[in-house]
Amino acid sequence: MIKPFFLLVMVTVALQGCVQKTATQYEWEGYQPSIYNYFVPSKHDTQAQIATLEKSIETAQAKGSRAAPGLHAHLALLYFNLGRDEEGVGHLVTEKQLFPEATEFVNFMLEKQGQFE
Amino acid sequence: MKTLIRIYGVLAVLLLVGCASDQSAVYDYTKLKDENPLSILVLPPLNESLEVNASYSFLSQVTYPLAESGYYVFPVAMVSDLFKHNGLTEPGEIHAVPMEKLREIFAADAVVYLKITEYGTSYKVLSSDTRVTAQARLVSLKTGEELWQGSATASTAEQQGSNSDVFAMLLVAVIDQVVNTLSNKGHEVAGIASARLLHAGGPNRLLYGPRSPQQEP
Repeated sequence: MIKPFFLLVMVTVALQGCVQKTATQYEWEGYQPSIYNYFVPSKHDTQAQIATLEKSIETAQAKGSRAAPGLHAHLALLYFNLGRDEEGVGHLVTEKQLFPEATEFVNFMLEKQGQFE
Repeated sequence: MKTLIRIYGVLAVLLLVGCASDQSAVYDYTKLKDENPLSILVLPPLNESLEVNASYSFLSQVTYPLAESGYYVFPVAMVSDLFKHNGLTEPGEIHAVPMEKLREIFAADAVVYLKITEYGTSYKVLSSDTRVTAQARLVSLKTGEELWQGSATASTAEQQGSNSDVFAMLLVAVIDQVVNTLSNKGHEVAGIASARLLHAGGPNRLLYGPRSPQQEP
């Protein structure tokens, strides 16, 4: 009985040796599923996705890490679709603050903002 | 007891092989290293499979591997919507957008063109196989030159215990955390294919980008 257990422990330890790093650089919860749901209309539940993404942002802040690249912009898109432009604009601005390389695109979207209503 | 020792021995060798990477046929990374792109625009993939949702299933799962490899990935749903509002809905039309235009709007360093060649389940006598295969080209928006290209496959029929499978199992664990609410098998397999295709590290794969602590100097 002890031998199979020992083997299992060995395999587990050895496998962990292969993993370089399990912690991710960014907070991801809900972002990619929300993108999928955005594209596949039958799964469209904007309110629930907003709640998940907001929670993800809180988690990132609590950990001192960052939300995944694009997450704030995606959340902005969801807010714009609900007509909540002010919150949308806020998250677009956060996106470029976190990732300055998105500045030109974000500015372009801020100008175009009306088209998502 | 002898048998047990033998098992441990074989196991140890297998695990070591699993950790080692194949150094043969190394990709020429000169251009990629020279340009060192930070921001990447991923366009909706061309779809050569019969699955209508293949393009967006795959597209929704490209951000994770690229971003965790150290690149900024433009918000893919917002990007797709922007094209749609400008009358471009087909991936083929979007791929035809001139690079100057992409550079003007997104100010991205590079663009990824994807093509899905397989996406779906084939039913065989003894088992079914859900398989996703895709190709990627990373092209500089500064010079228009190709910086890297690769292809990857993922399948539910992969044999347990092979070299690549140790890696696949780990990827599955990672992907599960990301798409844990989705049950669609093709979509899950697409997530693994996307990670194999676009995550940095390993022979001929993409290199780690500027935002990764693992980027080589």
